[in-house]
Amino acid sequence: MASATPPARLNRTLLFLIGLVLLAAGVFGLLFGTGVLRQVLPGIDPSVPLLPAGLTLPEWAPWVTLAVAVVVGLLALRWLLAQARRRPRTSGWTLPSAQVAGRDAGTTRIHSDHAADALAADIESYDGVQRAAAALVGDRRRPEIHLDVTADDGADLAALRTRITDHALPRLRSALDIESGRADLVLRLAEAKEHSRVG
Amino acid sequence: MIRRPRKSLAAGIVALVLLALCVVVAVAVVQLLLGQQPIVDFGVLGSTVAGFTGADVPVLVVSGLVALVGLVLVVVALRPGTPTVFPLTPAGGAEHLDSGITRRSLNRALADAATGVDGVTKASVKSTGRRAAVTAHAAFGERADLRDRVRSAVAQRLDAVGPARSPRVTVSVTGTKQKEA
Repeated sequence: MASATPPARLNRTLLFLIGLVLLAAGVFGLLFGTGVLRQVLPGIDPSVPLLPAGLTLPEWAPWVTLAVAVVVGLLALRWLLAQARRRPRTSGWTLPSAQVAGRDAGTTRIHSDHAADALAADIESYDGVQRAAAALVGDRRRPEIHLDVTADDGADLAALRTRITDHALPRLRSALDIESGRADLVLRLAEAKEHSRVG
Repeated sequence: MIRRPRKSLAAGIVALVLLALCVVVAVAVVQLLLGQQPIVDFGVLGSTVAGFTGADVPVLVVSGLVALVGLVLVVVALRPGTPTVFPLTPAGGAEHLDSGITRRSLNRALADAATGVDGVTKASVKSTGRRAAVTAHAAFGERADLRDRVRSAVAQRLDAVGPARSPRVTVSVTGTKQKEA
């Protein structure tokens, strides 16, 4: 299931895992250094140097280090770039083939973003709405509908929400022949554009 | 619908640090393999580490810092954070629409309501979902009276917006010095 707020889950998971590794390493260092660990494992001696003096690395060590650095670095880069994605992932849909005048009129492909744009345009035409954005996510027959609507400060929000559920969503469902599924709406308020607040 | 912070700032910093470390290590190793002088002198690094034992103070300090950073990251990852979108009460309609309002919008709307009270010149609101703290700056008027009027104006606006859980509204009025006109 695609998340409605990428990359929230990814961030939490990775931050938790990395934090846990660092915490474990740090606590191990402290327990080791203060000699607490030695009480449990007598073989561990904190008073010997951390590395033996004449240490020579095997020949493959630089190659392995390089490979690990490249792989981890690319994953970090991907994680960094994932922060830029704020919208849920959308996809292309193939609509079922239609019969026109008794003949197969072929299949129709549509990207869900285009269907979503039509929905957003519908909502944008309502009173008190300044901007609307929509995303249809997941299976074509039962997509999740995410709406992001900016309304005027003084707009009747209850009426707006009822209008969306009674008009915009049914229109979309009948146009695309989709079943009712999850729909959610994030409302934002902005100062009304046309009407001056003075006077 | 409730939405929580994405923790993008913390994630971005950690990812950037990780990336920078990997780039430095990769460049240094490539230089080493090519027989050039690497940007990280592994020999010096190795002998420095070899000079310490686990019980030395610098090693303990570094361990403590690493543990601290780890703890901070775990706390950041686990704390839900103040919601960025507050849920609204379900509206009547043909189908269920899971609605929420952004924190910024709710704050703005409530501040707007407070500013509508006579005598209030500006107002700011901080809401956490459980409470909404209104700070109103007034040019004139009696403080207790202003507080009541701001509270009722904010409550009225809250009703119109309709959050699923009405926050407890606290009002503080600043700026009235009770000067005799």
